[in-house]
Amino acid sequence: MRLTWWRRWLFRGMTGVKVGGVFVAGIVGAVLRTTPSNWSAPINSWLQWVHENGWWLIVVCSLAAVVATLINSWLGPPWVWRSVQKLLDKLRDEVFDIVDEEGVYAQRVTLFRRQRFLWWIWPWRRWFWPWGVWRCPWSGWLVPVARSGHTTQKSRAIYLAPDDADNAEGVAGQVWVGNRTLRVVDLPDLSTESSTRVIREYARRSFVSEIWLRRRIKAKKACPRALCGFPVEVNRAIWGVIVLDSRRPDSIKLEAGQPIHKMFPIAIGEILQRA
Amino acid sequence: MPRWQIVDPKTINVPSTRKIHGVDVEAWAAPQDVPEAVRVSADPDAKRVFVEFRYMTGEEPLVIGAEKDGVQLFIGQFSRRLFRIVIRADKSTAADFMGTVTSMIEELSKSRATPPRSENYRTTEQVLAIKGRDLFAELAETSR
Repeated sequence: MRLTWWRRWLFRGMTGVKVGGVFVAGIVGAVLRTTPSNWSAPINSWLQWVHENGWWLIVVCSLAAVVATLINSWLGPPWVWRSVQKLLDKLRDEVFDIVDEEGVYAQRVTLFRRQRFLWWIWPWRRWFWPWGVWRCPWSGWLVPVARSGHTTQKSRAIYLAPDDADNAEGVAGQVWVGNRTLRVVDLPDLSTESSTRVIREYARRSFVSEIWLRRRIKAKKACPRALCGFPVEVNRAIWGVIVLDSRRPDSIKLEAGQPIHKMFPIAIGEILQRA
Repeated sequence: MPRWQIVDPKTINVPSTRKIHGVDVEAWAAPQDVPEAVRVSADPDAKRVFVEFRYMTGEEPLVIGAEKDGVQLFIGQFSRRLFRIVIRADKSTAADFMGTVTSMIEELSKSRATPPRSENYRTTEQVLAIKGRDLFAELAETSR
């Protein structure tokens, strides 16, 4: 769940609805125990109105509080996503050689969440069916939910992570399927002038379809030259995948046993328990 | 109870080149699948030897993952990581069961269980290959 401004405000609004709903239901409950005739005007007429309408007020306020709680649990507290963002930035600083300004957006860390159901996908994978041939919303997808830095935050790079593991897409999909750390380096440097042979080679080595890759090149989106991914667990189950990508062919310094690599999945897994 | 012996992930979890769909990739176990410590203990009365692995993710309820020729492999109920090996033998002969243990771990890593833990089983096998002999020798020493 990417922390956008409207999600932040929705979380605050829903917190208000929840607190307000419980408070009003409590007040109405207290008023129902009073006798309006014992009070002077105009208070007695207000109390009388509450007595006449109290039952539906309590039902509506309680329902509003329950719905607001459900929406907030779906959104996750904003502090969780702020912490995740900071952790991703820290990981990026540790595993990449960021030597110039370009490095900040040319070397990225993205957190993907595995979703069993994806109700909408954009751009469509086939002109006649959004999810692609023989695929459906419940095929299983890896969706980007947070990314280091402040640019390229509106990523639409969604990868298939289905039950039939042979068809998992991208390095992210392969990490999810094998539940292990993977690294692919020295991928070809792609541009709009790249030959079909080079594009096919890139697609094969990065486990993506040629059609998807050609669309990306046509949209002038940069294609990373090195990729590395590892699984993220929440409550001992695979929750998603972290993918590191770089436009330099061999700049990912992640090593087995490196303290940041050892601690990062545990730290982010603990925080994501609250999301 | 013997002390936990810390495992060096750099020696246990060495990246290797694997072929996935015909593509060469560098692969190694996820950090949460690498045991951070190991210990070997014995219950002389019951004639049982225990090999236990500790992970960063902590403990969880265990279930029997495999059982053969007096050896039991206990895996995490939720994560399916290998946590404990129980060998029905006394301290001095437990090391003779290492072949059985290794083959059982290999069989376990071939299972199509969810979530896949083949990398965890591979690293525990590595831990036993590197530290197993010393740990069993140390255990046998304590009985004298």
